[in-house]
Amino acid sequence: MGALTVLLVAVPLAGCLAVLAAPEGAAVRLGTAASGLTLLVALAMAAAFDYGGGHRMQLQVDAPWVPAIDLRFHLGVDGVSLPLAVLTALLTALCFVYSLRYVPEPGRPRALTALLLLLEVGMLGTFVALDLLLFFVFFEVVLVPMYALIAGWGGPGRGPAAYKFILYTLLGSGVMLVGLLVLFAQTGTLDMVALIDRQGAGMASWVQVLGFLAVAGGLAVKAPMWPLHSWLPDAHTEAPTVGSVLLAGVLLKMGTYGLIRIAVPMYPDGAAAVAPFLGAFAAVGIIYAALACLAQRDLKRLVAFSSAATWGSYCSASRPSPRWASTPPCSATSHMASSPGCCSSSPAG
Amino acid sequence: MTAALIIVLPFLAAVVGLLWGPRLPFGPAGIAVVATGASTVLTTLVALGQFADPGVAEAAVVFTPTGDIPITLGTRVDGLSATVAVMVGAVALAVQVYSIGYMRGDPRYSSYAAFISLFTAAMLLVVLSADLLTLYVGWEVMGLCSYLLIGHYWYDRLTSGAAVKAFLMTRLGDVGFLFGIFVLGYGAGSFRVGDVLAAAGEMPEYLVVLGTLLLLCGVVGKSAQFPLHSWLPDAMVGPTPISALIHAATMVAAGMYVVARLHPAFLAAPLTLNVLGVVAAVSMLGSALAALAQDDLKRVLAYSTISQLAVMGAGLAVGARPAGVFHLLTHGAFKALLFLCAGAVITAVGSNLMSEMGGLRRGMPVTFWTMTIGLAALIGLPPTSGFFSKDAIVAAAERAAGGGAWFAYSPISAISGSVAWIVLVAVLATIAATAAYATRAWLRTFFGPARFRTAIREAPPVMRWPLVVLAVPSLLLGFFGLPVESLRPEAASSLLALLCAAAGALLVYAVWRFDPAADPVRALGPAARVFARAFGVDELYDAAVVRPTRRLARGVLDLDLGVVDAAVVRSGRTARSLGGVLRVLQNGNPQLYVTGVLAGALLIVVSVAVLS
Repeated sequence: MGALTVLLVAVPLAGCLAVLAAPEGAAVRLGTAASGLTLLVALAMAAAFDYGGGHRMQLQVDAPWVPAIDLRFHLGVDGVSLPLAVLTALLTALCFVYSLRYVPEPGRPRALTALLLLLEVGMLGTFVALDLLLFFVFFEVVLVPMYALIAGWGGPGRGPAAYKFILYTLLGSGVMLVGLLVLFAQTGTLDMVALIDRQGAGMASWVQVLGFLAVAGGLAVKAPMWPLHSWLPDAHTEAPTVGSVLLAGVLLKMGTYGLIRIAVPMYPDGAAAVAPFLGAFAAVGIIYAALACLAQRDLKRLVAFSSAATWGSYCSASRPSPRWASTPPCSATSHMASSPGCCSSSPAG
Repeated sequence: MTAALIIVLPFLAAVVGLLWGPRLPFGPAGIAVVATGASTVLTTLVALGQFADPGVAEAAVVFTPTGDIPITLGTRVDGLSATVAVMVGAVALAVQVYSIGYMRGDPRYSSYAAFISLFTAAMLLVVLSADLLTLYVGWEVMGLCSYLLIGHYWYDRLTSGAAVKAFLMTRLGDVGFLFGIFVLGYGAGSFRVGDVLAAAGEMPEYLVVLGTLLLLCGVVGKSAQFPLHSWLPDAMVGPTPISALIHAATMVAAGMYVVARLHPAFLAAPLTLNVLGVVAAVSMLGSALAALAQDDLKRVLAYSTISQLAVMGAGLAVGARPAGVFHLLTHGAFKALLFLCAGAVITAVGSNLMSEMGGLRRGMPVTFWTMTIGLAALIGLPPTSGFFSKDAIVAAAERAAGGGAWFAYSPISAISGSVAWIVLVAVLATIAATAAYATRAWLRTFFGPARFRTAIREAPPVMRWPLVVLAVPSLLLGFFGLPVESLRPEAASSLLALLCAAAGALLVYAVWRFDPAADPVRALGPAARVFARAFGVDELYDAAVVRPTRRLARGVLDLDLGVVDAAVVRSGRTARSLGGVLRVLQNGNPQLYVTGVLAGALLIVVSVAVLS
């Protein structure tokens, strides 16, 4: 059954390559077909999933990739990542349906389609990766097409907005990479399932705090957590509609997903120590962003700030508790899974 | 099963109506009326079943195993929910039929009818739900529907503002409501209504008090009680049938219904009862006085709704649940009637203002007589329904206030004696004020010289019939309470109430007789202005909440641009200017580079020579 998970990433990738070879006129249709097929794969995964065992990894593939650094091609889903993967596939397919009728200025549908499919590879890969390095690679794959979408198809202020987006989030990724390397240095493995099972065993408390700060800090930029959010309103305002949809609907969820999947279970002591501050930032963020929404006159900026406010609710929902590592809180996940619907449909309208 | 069908039918009508409304064989009206009618018939059947065989019938399935307290989806039919459901169904049906005439030619009638169906379904869910959390779902859907329906004429700025206000003010209370559900649910270990009621007596008192106080926040918001009342008069800008629906059968009634539903829990919390009593006393008298000075007929009725709901709240606070619920039912009938009559008058005259009405009794006899019945019931004149239900509450308040000397009756409510006295005095004063404003509205609308210029015609049959049908229960519903001992009129209390009512009505009549063309409220002098502005509560909220929040929001936006974002942008600029310093060396001039290389080489050679 692991083949489905591979297909989930492989189909959009193949679609991306095929689109590059296709004529300009057929590109969007080809892209729609590829994303539709991806959605079918995601639905098949949802059908094959054993809901009784939602807490353990299913539909796994685990093959050695670069044995020298113990890098494995390890994919799989559990109850947290499956809904997010299905949702990502759905949103991307919807974006393509929208693009069938409307390609933003300055046209060039082939490039747009290829970028969107590459974006989908990155987003889906992030949700199904079970190897830290693989996770990081997919996480980074997302940034480049999104930068290109904003810079290429964005509004009048696209240049600065795209720079701000890529520099700010790359800075966050860099900090996160440090945290991931700390994990590797301390435990000698990059396998996420093994790391989650360890629950931070063998790591000193201060190492955990530092590691958690690095990972969560990096992800907080992506999430975005107040006060690291200021790239978001600009990116949202300038991005083309499909970009805004995926930005609000999926990209922001990747940060929170990383927090739930990596930061908290792998550094439980660190999480417990930092949680109150995280909660405080989240609480400030909710009210701050809500007030910013209230005074906002630009609809897309309003959506951006409302995304920032919603993140605060996920974060307050996912406060660490002793039961955490084994059973991720369903409230945060369901909230994450439900919000893209509303957040990302508004830019489309 | 039947109970579930009662909720599902209007819900399906709403879905179908929203999707295909205009393309249905009988138009959007057909499905809305048929579904609401079928649902009403079913509620009647269920209520008759309850009458024949009283008891609690629960049907529930475990819906969501949350890992903690499960959420159940189910219905609970007992005497209370069955009777209130009949009232909801009947009023909703009357409103749907009446709307066919009232909204004729409206381009968005289809969505309007569908939203009313959804509203009805949500209210029925609140009434029949067996689980507090599913009750909350219905509660919130009603909030949404009220927003949509009050804002039916959304292109008018006043209307959209009123819709937002209604939504926000009720939402404010709902936050407390939700947490109240959590507290009671965790205290009882279950969200099932039956379990919560059973556990209410055994829970620690602080939990019950906290839970019910939080619930009360939501009730105050939904039932438009002080201090969250000011959305209701503004909501009058919506279509008149909506006012009838919101103010008689749904929404505002839901608040008091929940108190009645969870009454045992409230009785176990003396502090909550006292708060409810004081809130009710302030709301009933304040809004009755505000109603006295309004010129807009619908606003008179809106303030009277706040006042009458407070009377119900007072009844519940002094422990008289049957009396409170009885008043909820009779009020549902006569207030729906009054609003629909007001709608007929407004469409005939083309204005909401009583200063542009007068002398209408000749042109609109049916509306005149039905509205007279409605106003008589509002005042509480015998033998209308309002007389019986209001009297039961006055009698209960008397008992709670220590009238036990007359009745040798031990109070069943834990409300304190002084609060009970406040409640009793407020109820009697409210009865006088109610008689005054009802008489004023009656005289200003139907008597005196005509102050309008259009030709007056009676409303079309489709609007007239609901009036006649609703007038019957407004007149006769009171007699259905006679078999119940606590609802029978008592000599002392009914005499007291009637004296108060007569004083209020006669006073207004005397002033009006003096000059039938002028507004009798002028006799109040400067106080009339204060009453007309409802004691300036809105101005206070505007100054204390709305404007500071707006200022704060603008401040946050400035802070975001000026500090949070500026820090990011400036760090970028700083990096660039630092780069500018280093760029001086990288100026592209080969001579400089070669000079540098030579100088470096020289430096190395010299240092090697010196150090070795």
